[in-house]
Amino acid sequence: MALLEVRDLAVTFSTANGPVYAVSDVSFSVERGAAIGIVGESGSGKSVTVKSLMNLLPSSAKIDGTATYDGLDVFNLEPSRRKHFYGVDVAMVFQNPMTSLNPVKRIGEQLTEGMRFHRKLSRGDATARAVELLDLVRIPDPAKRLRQYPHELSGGMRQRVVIAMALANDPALLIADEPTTALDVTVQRDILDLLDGLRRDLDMALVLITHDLGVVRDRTDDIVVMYGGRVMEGAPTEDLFANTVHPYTHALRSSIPNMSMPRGTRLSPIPGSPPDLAIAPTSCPFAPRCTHVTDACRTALPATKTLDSGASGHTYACVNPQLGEV
Amino acid sequence: MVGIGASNLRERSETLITVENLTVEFPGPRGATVQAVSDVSFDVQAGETLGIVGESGCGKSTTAKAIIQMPEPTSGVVTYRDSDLTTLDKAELRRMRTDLQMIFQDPISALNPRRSVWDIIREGPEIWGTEDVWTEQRLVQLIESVGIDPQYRDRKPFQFSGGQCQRIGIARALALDPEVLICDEPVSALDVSVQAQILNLLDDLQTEHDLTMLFISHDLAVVRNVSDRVMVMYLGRIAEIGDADSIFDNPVHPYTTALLSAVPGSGVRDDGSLSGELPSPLDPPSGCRFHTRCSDATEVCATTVPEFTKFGADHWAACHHPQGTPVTLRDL
Repeated sequence: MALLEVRDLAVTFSTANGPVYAVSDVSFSVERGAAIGIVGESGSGKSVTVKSLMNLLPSSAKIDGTATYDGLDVFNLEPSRRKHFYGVDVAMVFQNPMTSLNPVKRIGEQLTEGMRFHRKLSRGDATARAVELLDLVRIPDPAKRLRQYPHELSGGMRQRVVIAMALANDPALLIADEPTTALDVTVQRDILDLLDGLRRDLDMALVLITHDLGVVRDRTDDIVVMYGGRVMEGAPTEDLFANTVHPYTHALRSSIPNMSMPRGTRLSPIPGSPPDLAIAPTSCPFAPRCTHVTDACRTALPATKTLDSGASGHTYACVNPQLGEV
Repeated sequence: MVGIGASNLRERSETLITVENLTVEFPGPRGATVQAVSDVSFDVQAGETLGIVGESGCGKSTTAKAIIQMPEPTSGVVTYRDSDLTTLDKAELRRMRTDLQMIFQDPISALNPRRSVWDIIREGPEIWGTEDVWTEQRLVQLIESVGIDPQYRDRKPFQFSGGQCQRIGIARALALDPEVLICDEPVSALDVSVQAQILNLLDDLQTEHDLTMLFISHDLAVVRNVSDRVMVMYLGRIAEIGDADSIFDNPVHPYTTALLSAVPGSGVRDDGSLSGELPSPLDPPSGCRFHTRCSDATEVCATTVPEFTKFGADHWAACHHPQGTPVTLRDL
């Protein structure tokens, strides 16, 4: 059984201007110790999906569907279980480390708070564990860092501290929402390598959310590609790149410049703008921007199908799939 | 150079902008000085795109802004055409800045939220009295050419997406008939699908309007796509400068190699040379500023600032231990 099983998740926000359909019909699963990438642009619903799992959405959000973590119904946890679920079983790392940390509290205090609350560790034991954790995320001179404030650390160091905080209670699942988007490329690689190493060493499952296919390419077992609140394509990572099926995934791949392109190469942008999520989804959200659009795309939601060739578990939601080079 | 020198400069008659020994310093905490840009020399030819890359804090934005004297550099000479921009008085500078326009990273905050798109774009020609040249018809054409439907000209910035706001910012700049467009991380805040639209648009407009561009970005793949020449900066100094293909295909400076190897899927081997944290510009390392993080560093790197050495027809690097063979005039 998968560690996390999300089925038919839908999140609708009620706003003054009517409902916003942020996430619809999203299903995926995460095996124990595995890494999956959720890839999408802003408004694709990738962050809302994981925030619904983490109970971080405002009360205006209506959640449908199920999420099962290790046999537990995540959306209907007993209050006593919930108290020690977030930050213990499942932990999360956010994009901007500065807003994840309290600017007026020392690193040590923030790092030990969770351990003292969830595990009732003494101050001394929690501090010893905090030093261990900073060492684990490769922060030099951990004892000194505990006495510092967030502003005294660089962006990369702050994100390491946030990761250390997330690891404090040995979570079996770590969700990282664009953990490197605010960081320089050189620091980005270090943080991604760190997360990858920790996942293997601690046998922890990882959900990595990003807008950058390059970031998840070498570091995940499976990838889910989202657009307009829906899953467009999901596959084992290698298979997603080897046998790309969905026109959106194709478009995403060809619109990004890469280092092997000669200078001046004309890019193939995706025409148009992202979808308006205030309109109830009744057809493929990508249809207005798709170069392979058919009449059927505009009249009904595409069913999720499984690709026959390639690795097993490659699914896509498209009535006019484009196998191979496009 | 994470070093000094001006041997990379070309003949003045060939260049549009020549920056010599540019230094920009800011007052830091407790009497200290932030050495944002230190003794940087480079030039730009008309019609060329110079990509400026480096980590945050390397001085790439400060360098570009110092060209248009925002803020004025601490020392150095910035020659644009025949005038030294650092010596111009306020009125001359204002006039000159119409020639050197800028687009910004956050396209939404770069636009006045209370004004309509039409007012935003028309303001420049109004101020400079060029309404007879920039007639309503031409401005409508301009708005169309950047990909905004002119029927939305009375809308305000918040009614547009980030990509559309960047298009509006580009139109505002072009309405002043600039010769140089400084692009400060113009696609960093945009989604990948929109990023390609803006990059292609800039490419079209560069041809159409004969623009010279300075393109600042931390994204090396984007810089590779747009640049004729590239300048790699580290902690306020230039590490490597020259022809883009030459630098990306055969990087000579260990910092450039480290930067390239960090790009996902670049294929450049990570030799682990980039260890440790970026030092503070309040107290930059002596000698070569990169020596504290460089795996090839020796004693000389800590004591002597390296000067530019030539590694190709248009390829210069400042390093005591370059990963390439310097060329002499005879080789060329």
